[in-house]
Amino acid sequence: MSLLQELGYTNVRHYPGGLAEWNSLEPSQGADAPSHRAGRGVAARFEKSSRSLRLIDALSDQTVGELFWLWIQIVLLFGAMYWLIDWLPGQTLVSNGAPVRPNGWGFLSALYFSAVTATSVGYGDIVPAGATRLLAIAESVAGLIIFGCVVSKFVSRRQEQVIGEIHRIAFEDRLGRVRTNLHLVRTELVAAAASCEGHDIPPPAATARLESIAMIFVGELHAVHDLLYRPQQTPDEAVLEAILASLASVFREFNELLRCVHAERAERRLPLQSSLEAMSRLAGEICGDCVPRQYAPALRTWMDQIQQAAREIA
Amino acid sequence: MCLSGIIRSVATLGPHLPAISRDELMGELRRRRITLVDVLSPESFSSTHLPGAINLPVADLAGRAGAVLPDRRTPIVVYCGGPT
Repeated sequence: MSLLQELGYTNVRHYPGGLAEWNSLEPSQGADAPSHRAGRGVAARFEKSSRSLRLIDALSDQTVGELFWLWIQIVLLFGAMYWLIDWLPGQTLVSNGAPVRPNGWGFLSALYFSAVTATSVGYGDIVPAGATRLLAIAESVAGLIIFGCVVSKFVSRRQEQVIGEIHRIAFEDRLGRVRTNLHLVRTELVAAAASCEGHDIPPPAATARLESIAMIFVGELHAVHDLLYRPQQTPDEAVLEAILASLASVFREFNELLRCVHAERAERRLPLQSSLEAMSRLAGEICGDCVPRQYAPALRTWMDQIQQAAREIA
Repeated sequence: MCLSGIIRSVATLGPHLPAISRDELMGELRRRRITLVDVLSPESFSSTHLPGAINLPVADLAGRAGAVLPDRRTPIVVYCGGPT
């Protein structure tokens, strides 16, 4: 990241906590923080639209248990209100043509009506009259929203499981592919080095071969880079170590082949030169500032080797 | 830079850049005085990022920085996945 300074930016600071620290804080704290409004451009528009949905966001942050408890509370609160309104003549609940009385049975009837309304069942054996209708509408809307949130929670939980599984499989697949390809690159390098030392192939053919190996290797470096910078999944330390070890050995072999194919730099053609530059840049980034901290002590030997080899290439 | 960078980042925070704490960052964001730069991959950025951040992956930094951040004196805060 200090690359920005090298590019001429003078006022650069670094937020070391990164996504992990930011996201580790309570969601409500983050959502309420005014910093959310500080977005610019496209991001700001997204923030604005999400602000209007803050109630829904707050509801979906609750667990299913909390949502159920909220629903119970709404049923009790509205039940109590229906019962209190029963004291007013003409505004009461009506059961079989007769107004519900404000007594003990009346309270149970009010609770029953409240539960029936909140589930949006509406049997119709008790009906609201007068101002109670407004209350009933408010309650059924609130009940529907909460029910919607509960249902979406169940659905999204399942989806998240499936997506997580897909991500994991794709990630492992990719890791395996990177390892295999690195092995192939190394084999190819060893073969090319052997034929170069034995003067089996003329220099132009050797250069072409080196170029194609370099291009494939740059692709693999890109893949390793992506794998490391993906925060959702992190490879096991052993796997990462294996990848870094083969990277280091490929870099070593590459250096040797490079020395063998042409001693002087002037002979390097443009495609090879750009591949070499990409190689050294990617190696610097793979071993750079953003490698997860927990890997650093165990893997630094390999990273050091890779860095050194990349410097030699450059 | 690899070995020493990692040792330094473990010991302190970031190799060369002055660090900013979360509270300071929130204050600066609130006053809209800084540009927040996410140097992670676009996939990571699309799944989650800090509010108001722009995405400038490390790999594209050299190529795209000039286009995205034309003013070289503008206050910038960069971040990545976590403690480095």
